[in-house]
Amino acid sequence: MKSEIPAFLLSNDSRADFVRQPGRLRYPFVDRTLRKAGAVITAGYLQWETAAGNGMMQRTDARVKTLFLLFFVVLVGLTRPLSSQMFFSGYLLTLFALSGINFLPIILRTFIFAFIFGFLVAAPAMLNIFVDGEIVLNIATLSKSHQIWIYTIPQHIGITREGTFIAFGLFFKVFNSVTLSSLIIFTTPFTEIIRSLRIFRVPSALLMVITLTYKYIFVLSHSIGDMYRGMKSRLIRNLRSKESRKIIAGRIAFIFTKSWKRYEEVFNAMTARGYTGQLSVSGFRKFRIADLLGFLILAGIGLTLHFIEPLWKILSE
Amino acid sequence: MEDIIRIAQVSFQYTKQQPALVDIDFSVKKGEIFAILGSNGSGKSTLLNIIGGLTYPTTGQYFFQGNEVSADALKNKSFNAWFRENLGFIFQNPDSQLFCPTVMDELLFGPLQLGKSQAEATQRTDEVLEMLELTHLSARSSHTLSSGEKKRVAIGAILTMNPSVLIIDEPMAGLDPKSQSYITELLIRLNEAGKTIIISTHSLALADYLKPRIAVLSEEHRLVRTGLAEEILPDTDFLTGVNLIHAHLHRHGKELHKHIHPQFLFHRHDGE
Repeated sequence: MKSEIPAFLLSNDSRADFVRQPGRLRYPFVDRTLRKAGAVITAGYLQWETAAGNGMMQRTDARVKTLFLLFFVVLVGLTRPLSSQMFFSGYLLTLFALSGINFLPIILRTFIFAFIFGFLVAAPAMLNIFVDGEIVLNIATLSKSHQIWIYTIPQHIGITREGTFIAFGLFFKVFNSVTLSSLIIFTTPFTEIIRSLRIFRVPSALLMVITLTYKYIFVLSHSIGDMYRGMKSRLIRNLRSKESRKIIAGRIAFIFTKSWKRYEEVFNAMTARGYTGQLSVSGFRKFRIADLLGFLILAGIGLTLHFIEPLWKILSE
Repeated sequence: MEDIIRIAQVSFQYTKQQPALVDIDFSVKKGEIFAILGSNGSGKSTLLNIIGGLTYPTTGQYFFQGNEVSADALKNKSFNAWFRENLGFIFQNPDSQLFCPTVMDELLFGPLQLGKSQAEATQRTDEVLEMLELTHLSARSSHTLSSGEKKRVAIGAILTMNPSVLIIDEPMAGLDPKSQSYITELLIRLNEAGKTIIISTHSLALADYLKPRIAVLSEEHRLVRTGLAEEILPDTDFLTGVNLIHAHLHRHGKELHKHIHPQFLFHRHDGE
């Protein structure tokens, strides 16, 4: 070292004793967003932990689960009776339970998602303004009906039985599809899900790109988490928005540079290991009878629930 | 010497299957050099993050100068300011820490936040730049620097705040031998100037140079021993047990053999 330690470092000018004063520290909005992005890592570890469990779905082959997912989503889309949809929900919750996963937080999130993107989107269809039908709940009565553009506003406005079935039907379709997707995600390592897509003849190069992208999300989340801690460790007071903007701009530039370097490193690593433009991805073991049986059982139960209403009628006659 | 840091029965887990620290209990005294030793994945960085108020214990308590440090406590503006100005954290990867447009801005950031005048902040920055031999790089952006230069900027960015405690995660990570000896000398001199220094490392050589009081973490994430460097470093059986030294294959002339060869045995004084 060339120079002596500066005089100010030889004195201790930080306050030794803490005197509490009111006032809360506020982190900038963008900063809070960055912190939440960093939480992706935790979510990833949780997924890895549940996927490594020893429940029924975890022990099922990834290809069987992927095929079941495709089959079931189509089945849910084609099923009209609400009773069947409700049985589907019960079936999926049973599969969650058999896999030893605490499904309540997952189901709650799925429920909110399905409510917004299923029920609320279709909610107007409950009114007889959009879908004709038998009114089960009268909301308003006008002096006469009106014609506005292509819509007829009837004299009696209310919620119809048919519209209610449409709204709830869409809610259950979204809920069941997302619940099954969650079940597959939480019981299958992500890499296995990607590899299983090969049964649908998805090109290896595309699978490699998806895998790299998934891994990069983790690398990026790590960087974001580190950056957040770095900033937090030096944040003494609330930052002015101008200061925040300056810092965030610097961080974005840094991440861009880092991403660019990472692309080059990954490409060089692939080249160093013999990559010349043609990808060979390791395959699965052979599909066994047990795997086929597993699929048939899972799909068979789903199919039975699809026909539950006509089956019930036949049995009760 | 009085305790400046107290870690009381602290445990931390990322998920149920991933404990990072189990029942850690120790104190750091004011003005000492304290090293947390452990193999990779033993929980050193997590423990430093807790001491730095960046992560919070799952169970147990952490006290800084008798005040409990917790997520809630750090939401208080005055406590956060007091804690951060007293305790400077230098990250293993300097890229995480450097977020200002230029080296000069990095060093100015801390003192300006502390409410120092522009003149005083600039004077501090100039002095630290000179001490760390970074003056010629002051207008450069930190991402264009070498690893050793970035590390020095990261240290400088904390030193301009003049904290009483310096926490350094793996001070030698990614540095060439010249930068390593530079950092070692700097740490010794800062400690002589009265700073409490806490480092995490798996480098026995660094522990031998600094002669700190040591806390050793096991691969099971537990604190297995605390003591002076002079007591712990010669205990090869213990160090082997915590995976800090191991038998390795090497040559003596033409002879190839394998035995425990602790790195710190290479430490020789001039003329020996």
